[in-house]
Amino acid sequence: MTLVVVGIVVMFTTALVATNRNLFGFTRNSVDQTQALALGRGGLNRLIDRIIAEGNYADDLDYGDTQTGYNITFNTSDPNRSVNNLMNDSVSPGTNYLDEAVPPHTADIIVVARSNGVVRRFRYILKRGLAFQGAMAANGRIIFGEDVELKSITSLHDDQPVETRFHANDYDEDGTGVDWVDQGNFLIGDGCEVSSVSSVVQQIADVDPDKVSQHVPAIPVPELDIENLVSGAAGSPAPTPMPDGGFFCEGSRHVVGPVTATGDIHLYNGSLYVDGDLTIAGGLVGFGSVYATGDVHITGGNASVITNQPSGAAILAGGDLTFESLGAAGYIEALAVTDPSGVGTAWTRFKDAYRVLSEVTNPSQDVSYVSPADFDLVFPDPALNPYATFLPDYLQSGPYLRADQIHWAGFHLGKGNNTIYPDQNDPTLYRHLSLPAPDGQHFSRWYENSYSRAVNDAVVIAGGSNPRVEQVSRALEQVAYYFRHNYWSGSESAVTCDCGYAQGVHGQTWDDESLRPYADEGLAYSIDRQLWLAHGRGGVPANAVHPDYGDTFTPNKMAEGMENYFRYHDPLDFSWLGTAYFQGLLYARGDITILNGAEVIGTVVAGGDLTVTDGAKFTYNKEYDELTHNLTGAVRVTSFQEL
Amino acid sequence: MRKSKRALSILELVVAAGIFSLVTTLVLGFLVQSGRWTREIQAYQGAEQDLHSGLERIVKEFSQAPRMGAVAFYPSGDPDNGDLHLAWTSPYDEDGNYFQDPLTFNPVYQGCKIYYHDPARRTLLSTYLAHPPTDLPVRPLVTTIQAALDPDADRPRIREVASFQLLHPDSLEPIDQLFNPSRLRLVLNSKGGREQSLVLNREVRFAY
Repeated sequence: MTLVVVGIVVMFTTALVATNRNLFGFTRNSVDQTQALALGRGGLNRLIDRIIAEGNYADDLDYGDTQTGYNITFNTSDPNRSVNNLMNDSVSPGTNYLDEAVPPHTADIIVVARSNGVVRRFRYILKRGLAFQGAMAANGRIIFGEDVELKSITSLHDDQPVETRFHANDYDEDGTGVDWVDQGNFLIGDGCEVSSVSSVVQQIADVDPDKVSQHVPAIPVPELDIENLVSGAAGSPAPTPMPDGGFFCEGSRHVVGPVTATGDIHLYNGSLYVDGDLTIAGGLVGFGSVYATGDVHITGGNASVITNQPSGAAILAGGDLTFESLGAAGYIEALAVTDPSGVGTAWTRFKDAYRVLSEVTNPSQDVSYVSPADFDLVFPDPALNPYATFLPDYLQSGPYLRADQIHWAGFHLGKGNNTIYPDQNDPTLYRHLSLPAPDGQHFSRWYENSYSRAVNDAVVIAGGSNPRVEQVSRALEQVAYYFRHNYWSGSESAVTCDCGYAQGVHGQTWDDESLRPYADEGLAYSIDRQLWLAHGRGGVPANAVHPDYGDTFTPNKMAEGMENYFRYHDPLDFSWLGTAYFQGLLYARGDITILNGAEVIGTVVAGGDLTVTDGAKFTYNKEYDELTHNLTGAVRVTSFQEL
Repeated sequence: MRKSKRALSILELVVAAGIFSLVTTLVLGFLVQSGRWTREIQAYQGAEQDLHSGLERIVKEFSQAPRMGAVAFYPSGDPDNGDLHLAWTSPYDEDGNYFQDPLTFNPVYQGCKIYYHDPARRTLLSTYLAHPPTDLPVRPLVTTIQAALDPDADRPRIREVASFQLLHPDSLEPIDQLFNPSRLRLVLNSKGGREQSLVLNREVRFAY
């Protein structure tokens, strides 16, 4: 009996084990799968650690035994070979496991991990630079202030939007990761997304709910060992001082801080390493990187006045970073007033002109308009010049209307009239202003008394060798260009339309119906409505009625037209100068603070909080993703694939 | 001394038969019960396999997702309901082919992979939503995901699913927020009629 019972129990146990052997095996296999994955990650981390220390690292890495462990090999004949091409500017001479050449600044890593017979193969693509795929990220919070505009572009030459993120990894006690002082406008452009590991303040979410994401995974903000990077460059020569108080950096340059650059830092594929704090009272020109172990304070920007310039800099601070934008006027003034060559005088005249023009075009002006007391002083009648004289009919005799004065001021600040054609080929006269405009080469044909011309003359006097003077000149050139560009792309003043010039262009007499200036969509408002009211008085009889809009041509209407025209084009809003631009990457291990409505084209990454006061414009520029490729130390995983 | 030889008494036979019957009943009952146990264990085993293989698949695929291209949400709005929808942009197409930029080796994202729990069907389903190739990890919109779901046509991955949740990596409380690492919990009702739930938690760590 006992034997029978024992036999039955044994049979039952055997059957139980037999029926569940798959389960036991499956569970074990699952554990081994997980362990192999963990081993693979361990192998990758170990390799990255070696690569950070030695960019060209290409020795095999093994761990464990034949049953459990991992293997990374750079043996060129191994089917699971890895290729480290991180330090090269061209494709790899060897090939990866697919017999493909590996791109520059890239490593193609295969990790083979084993756990008790379970083998898994992982492929990681590593690249140099910051592991960040977005426009803006903060390990702390992001706090916006006032008017905010978030945009993205493919490159400076291609403004097609690309997908990008503005993201905060931390949040306050209320759970808000991205906050906004709700004053002004908040614009989230196409392709942009505001996100937080916690919540985004409701006022931003209300702007465009589809462009706001809450409770999303944290984005890893890298912690670069800047002290190590700077100490590694301690043997490099010091940067070359520039006449404007800045530095010239080509290749690696090292300096012990605190350092203050009172002018631009010129980077020609160079890197400036600062052991301490760095203050830049100017801009950054060219391409390259600036490292500082301490705090970095930037006053200015790297494209402070001139837009669309091919500059791009990566600024990496071991401490906090403050980007204090100067208004364009402030920036120019800072350059001009300290210059001994006379630019300061011209700049003062320029400022006065703008101030008076601002008064004239102030919307609060009404029919009781009183001309600014110093209008005639700032905008005097044109002086005789070798070529011709010019005085619009409406300025031949007073009293001047407000529109008349706006018109005349515009001529001063812009080009001038059509009758003056200096020798464009004379290299001694206007060469400094023969800058290519966005719509092609243009030549300056300045009215003799124009303020831009005055500054240009100062450049000529200074011999064109003073970069500070040239910057002022370029700034004013941009002002002048802007005025011209308000019109169509002719070289005339764009502030107003001059009938005589239009006649000259079209070869026929002015006619409101058939001879309207070339209009495009953006200018239709002013061209078709306002300029009709504002052009030379002789062209339109008093109290005539506009055939399209029904406006009666009266002095007040004319003033209103000019005022609207200016408001539409907003020539007095210096924001078109961008206040100060920064083009490139701003990175700080601590907090980043951006003041005075700066515009940043590129990327901002903060290890702490990112605070934006006074509003700001951020434009993510995808092409700047490549800016940090020359960084040593930073390695990022750009893709993970299980083979 | 003469050895006594006598037959078994009726009483003895009855006792012996009773003992035999009892033992037989016990053994047969044990055998019958073991058959039930075997079926239940097989059902349990099946559910366990579904649980492991299903979650293993999700983890394997999800761990290759870019963290910026992943989204998790509960249509019910309450993580405790376990109706997790998990989606991420993927450099794999619907047929499992991997795409990368030949010049940069950056992944080129082809579409959106979606895993979701349909409580009405008690089933975990998956589907794929193709989108124009892009070299940036575009996180799919919740509305886009929801519009793409079709439980009648989407592929059932695991049945008898009681709950599919994200857990906080530290507190293990159900949440609607992805972390790195993130933790997934899948709860199944075992098959075979036995009232038993199987729970498996797995950690997912984004690589990039």
